[in-house]
Amino acid sequence: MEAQDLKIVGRSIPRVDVTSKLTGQALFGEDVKLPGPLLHGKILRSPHPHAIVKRIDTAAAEKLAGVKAVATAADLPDVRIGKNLKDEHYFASDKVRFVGDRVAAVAAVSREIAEEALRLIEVEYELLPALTNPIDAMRPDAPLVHPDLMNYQVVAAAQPEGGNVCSLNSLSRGDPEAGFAEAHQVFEQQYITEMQHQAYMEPHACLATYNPDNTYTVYTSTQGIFGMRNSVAEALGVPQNRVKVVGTEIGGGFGGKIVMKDEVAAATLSRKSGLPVRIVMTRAEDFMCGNPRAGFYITIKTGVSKDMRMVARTMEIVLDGGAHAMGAALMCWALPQFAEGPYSIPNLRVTSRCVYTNKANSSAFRAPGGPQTNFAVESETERIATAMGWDALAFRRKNLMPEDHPNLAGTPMRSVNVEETLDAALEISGYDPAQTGLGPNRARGLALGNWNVGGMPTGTVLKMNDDGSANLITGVVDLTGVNTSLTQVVAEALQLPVEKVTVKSLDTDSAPHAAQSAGSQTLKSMGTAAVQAAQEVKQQLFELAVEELDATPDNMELAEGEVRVQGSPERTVAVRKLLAKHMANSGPVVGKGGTGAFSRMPSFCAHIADVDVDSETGRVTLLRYCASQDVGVAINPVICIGQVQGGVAQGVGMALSEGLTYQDGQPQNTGFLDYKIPSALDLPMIETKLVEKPAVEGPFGAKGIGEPPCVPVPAAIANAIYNAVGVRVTSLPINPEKLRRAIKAKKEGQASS
Amino acid sequence: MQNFTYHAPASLAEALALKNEDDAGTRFLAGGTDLFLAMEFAGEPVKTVVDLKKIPELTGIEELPGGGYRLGALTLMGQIEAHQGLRAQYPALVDAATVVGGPPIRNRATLGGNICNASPAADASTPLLALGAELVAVSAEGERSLPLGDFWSGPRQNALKPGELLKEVRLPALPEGGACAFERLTRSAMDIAVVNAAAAVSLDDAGNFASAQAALGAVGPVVLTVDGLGDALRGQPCSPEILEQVRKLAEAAAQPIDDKRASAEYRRDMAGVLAMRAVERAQLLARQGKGDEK
Ligand SMILES: Cc1cc2nc3c(=O)[nH]c(=O)nc-3n(C[C@H](O)[C@H](O)[C@H](O)COP(=O)(O)OP(=O)(O)OC[C@H]3O[C@@H](n4cnc5c(N)ncnc54)[C@H](O)[C@@H]3O)c2cc1C
Repeated sequence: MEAQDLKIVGRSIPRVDVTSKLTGQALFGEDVKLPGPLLHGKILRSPHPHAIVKRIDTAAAEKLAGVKAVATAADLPDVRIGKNLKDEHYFASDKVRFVGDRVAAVAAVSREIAEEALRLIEVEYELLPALTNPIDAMRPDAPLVHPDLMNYQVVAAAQPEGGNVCSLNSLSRGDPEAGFAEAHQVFEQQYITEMQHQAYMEPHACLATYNPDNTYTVYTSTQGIFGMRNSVAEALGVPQNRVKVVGTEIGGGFGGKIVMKDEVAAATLSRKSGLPVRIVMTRAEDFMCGNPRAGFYITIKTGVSKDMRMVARTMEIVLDGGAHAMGAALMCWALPQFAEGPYSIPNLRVTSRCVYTNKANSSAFRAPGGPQTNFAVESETERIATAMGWDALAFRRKNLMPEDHPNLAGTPMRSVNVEETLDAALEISGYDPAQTGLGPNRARGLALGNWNVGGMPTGTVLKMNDDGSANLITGVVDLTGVNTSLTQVVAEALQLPVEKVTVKSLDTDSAPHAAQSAGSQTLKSMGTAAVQAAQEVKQQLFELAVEELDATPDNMELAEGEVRVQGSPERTVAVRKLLAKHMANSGPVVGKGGTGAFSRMPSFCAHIADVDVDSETGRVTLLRYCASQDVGVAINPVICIGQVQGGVAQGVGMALSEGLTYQDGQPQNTGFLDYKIPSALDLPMIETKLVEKPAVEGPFGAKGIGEPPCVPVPAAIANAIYNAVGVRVTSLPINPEKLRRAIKAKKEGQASS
Repeated sequence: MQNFTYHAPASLAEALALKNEDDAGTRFLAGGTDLFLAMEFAGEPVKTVVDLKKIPELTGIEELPGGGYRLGALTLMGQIEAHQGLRAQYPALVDAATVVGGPPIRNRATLGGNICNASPAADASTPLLALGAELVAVSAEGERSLPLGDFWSGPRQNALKPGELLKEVRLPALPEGGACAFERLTRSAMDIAVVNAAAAVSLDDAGNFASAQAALGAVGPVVLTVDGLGDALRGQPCSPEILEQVRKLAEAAAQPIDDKRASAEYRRDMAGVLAMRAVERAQLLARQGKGDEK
């Protein structure tokens, strides 16, 4: 892309939602109110990780005063649902497969009565052995979570292997075994990560109402209203036009608010009771029934040559998928496309298996699969360099992917800015590979990160008003400030001040189909569609101006509310005048834009963590954190920096303290007391550097940046810990107890040798 | 939340009379930061709640004529945090009070609640035990005092008789040349202690230990004292060898169990480390205190 003369893109304008958020007027999932009475819904969830449901008796619950409806599987069509693999009944009918699996639902005039009614529902279970570890679940004699797996309908991405393996994907290039045979040295290591919950501030909340015209309206805190609508319609067994989903303000999602939750229960209860039904998860329910980041078991084997080249690598990855395939199956499919890291390895095979266990359904979490694989890749980079006596930075540089490097799926990686991104981090941090130590038990650690961002089918409509101002109609949810960035994109494209552009996220009845706000592609997809819509608007105006200006449309430009002839600023006609003319001739000026799926394009980052390790307690303190991010073009730099800082914070949690734990299938930490995310006091100021080099696609050359910043964090911290105390921890989280044990083991090893 | 009857007596006498009516299902309420959680999440059955917050006799922080302090049971963590006199003499207690929850919690949570709740991880309780605090309990029969060390019999079990409530805490004066320190292992903020420790020491003119006491939290059914510490340290300098002894004594005193927050092994290990650090820091403070006087 050419260097651009941008007026509005590139400025950190305040977020368009700032006033409503700061004054508490923004309405989140739980805040939705409709006129008239409202019922409170509660879900009866399985207390067992794995059991056959023999009988459900709701009679006593139905008789309780104040109960207006009870719903079970009998109230829905007997269909299995699922976006990738149809492996789930909305309400458990045959079996329950994790603690929290939905069994029944109650709507009552108060939350207390609904809770009381849940206690009156009798369920007879026949307990089955529970699987809480995917490695155990792959044993030939393991009980089957889904005995019918091989008969399930595959929708997309999933490739069932059988047993408990609901999806298998393996991609390769070259001949890794031959590569190992010829390699100067071969390294092998296993890395393990745990399930990580998104820990958004707002638990899942929805309100549904069944309307007299036989339609449903669902208000919900979701990342994607169209995906939600399609799931709800599928489970209810009604055409999509009969479900309207209204996205509320969303108190964080990070991938955890893509999958449908209690919306169908609320809709069914509303249909049965004739009243709107609200269901809000408690924090414990949200921890129990969320869609965490999958835990990974990664066996990584690397062959290197004498001259610092990675000549061969295999990665065997096992994902803890939880009870249903959901997004984990998609991740399993996508993993081999990015697990190579920012490198280019001639002989490479990546095999991933998504395995059922009796735990929460893992699905998408900010860069699904990214931080886990990166933890293995970038820990190995340093481990190998140390063992070989190489400068780890030089080792990295020697193996970086070049422009147009095809990933394992054959997609060329374009706009590869990895070297610039690395240099930017080195510069802001003053990192010196020969001097990673900062004093006793203090050191810095580096990791590179990569994340591929595609695009998803998305459409938009841009309406011009009589006074020349514009409204963009979108169906994307305003997460992460995307409506602010879209406002800038439209303002730039139409050369309007931002005050004359309004971007509104509307409901599924009102907006054209749009992708979910996920996958770092929201701005890229919707922004590209918006630029196209603006192009259509311009075209309509320019064609009308041919008469007035006596010029051809391709010689015209928009500026300051006028259409001008390029190079002759005195030949102008007011946009308002053209709009009036268009209105009189053929109705309003409306632009339409749409994009299909983009090819995947990498965004890179380089992180440097400075840590202090208390070797007696194992507690790690972050002293400083520097992160560079390849953004293409920063449409709104402050929003970009916020994304980087937030991503790092989540990565720090994954690195040092977070992980959903289970004992015999029972979740152990379903609240913030025991599920420890970093608090503000646990984080240093995160210093960021945005690397700007317009990408070959994306609005004004912007890349996807939401997910990448959490990718290299665990590896950067693990590398820093190694540099500080000489201990390499190969499983996450590196909590104080684990690190203390490793430090002690090392001391005892030294003492005895 | 379950239904309960609520009383808010305006005097001690009124409160004691109320509690006599139905002891089994009655609970006293101070800040409610433990009680309401127990009722909401642990399903503790409570029929009657007697709110103590309006009772003037349970409030106040006063220095006692012969040294030491009286702290009313309703004293807030936030009040301890802000109290200059306490900060100067009992930094261990002030530091502990300062890490309880966040500011909103510290403006609700009381010292009496922290003690009566009888959690082995109660942060303010550990320094009080190391400092040798006495409790004053009151019932319709009258007042009695008992050492804090005799107060807890197990998690959530205290020595109060039915109808009896905690009136105040009495902190003894520190011995000449004495100082105290508090240590805790957690995330930086808003966390329950994996282990906490407090130490109170005094030094003789030669700079050797004259007395030493330490307490450990979250390593047993109740907050524990480190037995034998005074005898082991008396007359000794604060050397690495002596600190190693502190570690050993603390490890021996700990009676940890495995739970979801930490293994018994790690807790024992940390009891040793934190006790050592608390003793070392208390000793440093004592040394500085002596230096200041000269
Ligand atoms: C978010 C959060 C964070 C927290 N963090 C910490 C922490 O870091 N460290 C820590 O130690 N604690 C922490 N706590 C626990 C709690 O705040 C403290 O234990 C607090 O001191 C309890 O005091 P309270 O006044 O709220 O007690 P309440 O909840 O009112 O009472 C607790 C118990 O003591 C009884 N009781 C109270 N006063 C009396 C009395 N005068 N006589 C007889 N019985 C009485 C009650 O009946 C009840 O059984 C935290 C709590 C929350 C909610």
